[in-house]
Amino acid sequence: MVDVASLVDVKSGTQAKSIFWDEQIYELELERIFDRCWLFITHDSLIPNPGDFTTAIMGEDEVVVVRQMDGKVKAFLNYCQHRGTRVTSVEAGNTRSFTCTYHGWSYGIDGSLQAVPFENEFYKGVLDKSTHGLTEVRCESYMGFWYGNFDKSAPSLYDYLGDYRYFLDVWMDSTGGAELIGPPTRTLLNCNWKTPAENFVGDAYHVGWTHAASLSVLGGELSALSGNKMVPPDGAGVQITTRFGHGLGILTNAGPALLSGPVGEMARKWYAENRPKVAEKLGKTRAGYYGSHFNSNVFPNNSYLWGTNTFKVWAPRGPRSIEVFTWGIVEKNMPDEVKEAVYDMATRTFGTAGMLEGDDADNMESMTQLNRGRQIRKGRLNSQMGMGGDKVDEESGAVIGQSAVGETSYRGYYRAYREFLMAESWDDLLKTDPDAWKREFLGK
Amino acid sequence: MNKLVKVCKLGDVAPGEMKPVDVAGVKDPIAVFNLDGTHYATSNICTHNIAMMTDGYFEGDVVECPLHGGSFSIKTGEPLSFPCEIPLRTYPVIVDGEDVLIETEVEQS
Amino acid sequence: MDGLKAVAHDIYHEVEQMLYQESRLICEERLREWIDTMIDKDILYQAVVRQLRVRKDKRYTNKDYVNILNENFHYLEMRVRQSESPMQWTADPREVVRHFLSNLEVYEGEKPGEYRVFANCYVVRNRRIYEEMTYSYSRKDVWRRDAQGQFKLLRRVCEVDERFMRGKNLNFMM
Ligand code: FES
Ligand code: FES
Ligand SMILES: [Fe+2]
Repeated sequence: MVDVASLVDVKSGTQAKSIFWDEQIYELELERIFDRCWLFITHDSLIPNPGDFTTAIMGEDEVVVVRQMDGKVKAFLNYCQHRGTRVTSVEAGNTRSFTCTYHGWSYGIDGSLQAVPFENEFYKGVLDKSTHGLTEVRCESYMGFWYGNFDKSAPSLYDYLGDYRYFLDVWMDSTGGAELIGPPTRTLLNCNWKTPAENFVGDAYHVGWTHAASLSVLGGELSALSGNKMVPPDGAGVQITTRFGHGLGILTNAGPALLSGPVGEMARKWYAENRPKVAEKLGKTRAGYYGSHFNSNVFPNNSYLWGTNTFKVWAPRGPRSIEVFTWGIVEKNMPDEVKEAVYDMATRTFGTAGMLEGDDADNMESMTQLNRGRQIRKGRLNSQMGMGGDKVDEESGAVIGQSAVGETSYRGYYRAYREFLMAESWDDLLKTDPDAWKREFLGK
Repeated sequence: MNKLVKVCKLGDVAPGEMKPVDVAGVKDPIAVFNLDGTHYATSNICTHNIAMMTDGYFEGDVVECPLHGGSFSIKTGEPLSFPCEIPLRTYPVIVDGEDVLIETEVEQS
Repeated sequence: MDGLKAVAHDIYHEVEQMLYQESRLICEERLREWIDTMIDKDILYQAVVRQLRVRKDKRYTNKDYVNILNENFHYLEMRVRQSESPMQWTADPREVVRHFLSNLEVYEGEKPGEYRVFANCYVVRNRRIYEEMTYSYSRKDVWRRDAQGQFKLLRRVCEVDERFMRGKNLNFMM
């Protein structure tokens, strides 16, 4: 049996390498993380009209998310109640029903079983249609972003995001909201699902080195970091972590990040124009964050970057490979040409042919695949950078490390990861006082 | 005996919209359509299976079934696409003052 | 077919040779030479992946494609520079991108001296010790002959067949 408690050492800031490889740990993750946490499924902008639907993957479960006739949104497991085939094989569309291609059972977009071919002739009254609707999945949204949850006892999405909302709002609320640009690209990576998640939650350290070449040719604010030529000065950024492992890093004023030339200017102008509005709405601190570069992850596997404007889900496919879903993310009220420029750059940097996307892949795959070796697998991972410098931030309630580069959010991510794996249920998770995690995290 | 029965009032169904109507004494559930100000009425049950046409899409003079996507002309009831082959029954519509009426046989109650 | 006018045999042959040369430059990592000699300054270089939809669904309004490459000369040249950087760790050790071209069709273009070229492409990409990835896509090109008689690529649209990209990424010249 796996010794779960020792997988993450919160005090010393280390993790067992086996978390990237072990089948048993993976099964436990599916049960205690993916069956329990809020998982991204769609965005309002992708299903604007009644009957619009998109498909998604939660953990390893396929779901379909549908806008109802009354404007509400429902999610269902994507399988037929008869013999279990998919009820839709496409990724998006507009429909009034889902008809299974095996024997033709038809479901309404509300999930109810509407029609069964030759129901009277063959079933002669034995089939109770009312108990054979699609299996509904709980879903809730924040600022137009829809998440699903398999656990009825989970807190609301709003509470699950908790203190993290303070930072989400910087982009997702301040200038009139955000939207996704789809469809997503879908690609394979032979890595454990946590390797990109931890990278996006808290790794500003690798940017100058892993991406040295791409940064040097792209220009924009981040290019100064290329080849580690520059140490980001004090005050250039922060590392942030919260109760359930959601975290981020902010590089102040590094907004359009990799956009140079006239399109970069266009984006910079937009940020400059909007900063005062953000100040008015969210206060001075967050106006300072607006227009900066954010690397972020909503626990467990939903990452995004503001400034480089990519939005990802790392869907686990066993412990050693993932399906990467990538959308563009933009502010709703950006003028079309700014949206386009920003989306274009998001694709150029973190899309399927993304100049930075390819850079990260080798790291994530070797971090995973090397654990094939029994000796290597026994090793531990280090995330100690910035330890001792983390403090509770009174304004947001989060824990913040005052450094543009540091591993605060890594440590917070894995602290929460351990807590989820150890807990029997949400009741178990919620029985500690809401600040207990901070004492544990800060070693007090 | 055929009779004129009221299905709705003018203005109940906006142009481009359709509406399900159950009329006392009329066996068939009725679908009323307003196509650019002219009213049409058909049976509301898809001839392919069991779906309510008014749960589907009404576009141009075509109604598309919500279940399997078969479609009919609302003017003639003619089936227009797979899997529908049997025509949809249509009803003559008469507007009398404020009332929209259809002509149909009525069961004595 | 499709209202297109096939070219004379000698031009077909010339274009065919030129495409093989292009592939060889890419395979041999001679990307600077490639962009200097074969790419028109007005290039638009695209690759497209499509989302799966029900064929007759016309009511869903969001677009069904992603331009995973959407490069003008400026950005294409940037990618060449990235590959030349001594800090491009993914390209060191070397990787091999081998194109297999087939189903070549060459037609007169819209303007004199322009040619529309269709091809099927199969790419076998080898990198690091254990990675071999394959890609299948179609190419629709427009080539134009410059004043010196040299063919320059003006437009390329690659339609990628695979919806779920097992080859992980398309960080190579397609
Ligand atoms: S499995 Fe879906 S109808 Fe039989
Ligand atoms: S029930 Fe209408 S098309 Fe099948
Ligand atoms: Fe990276």
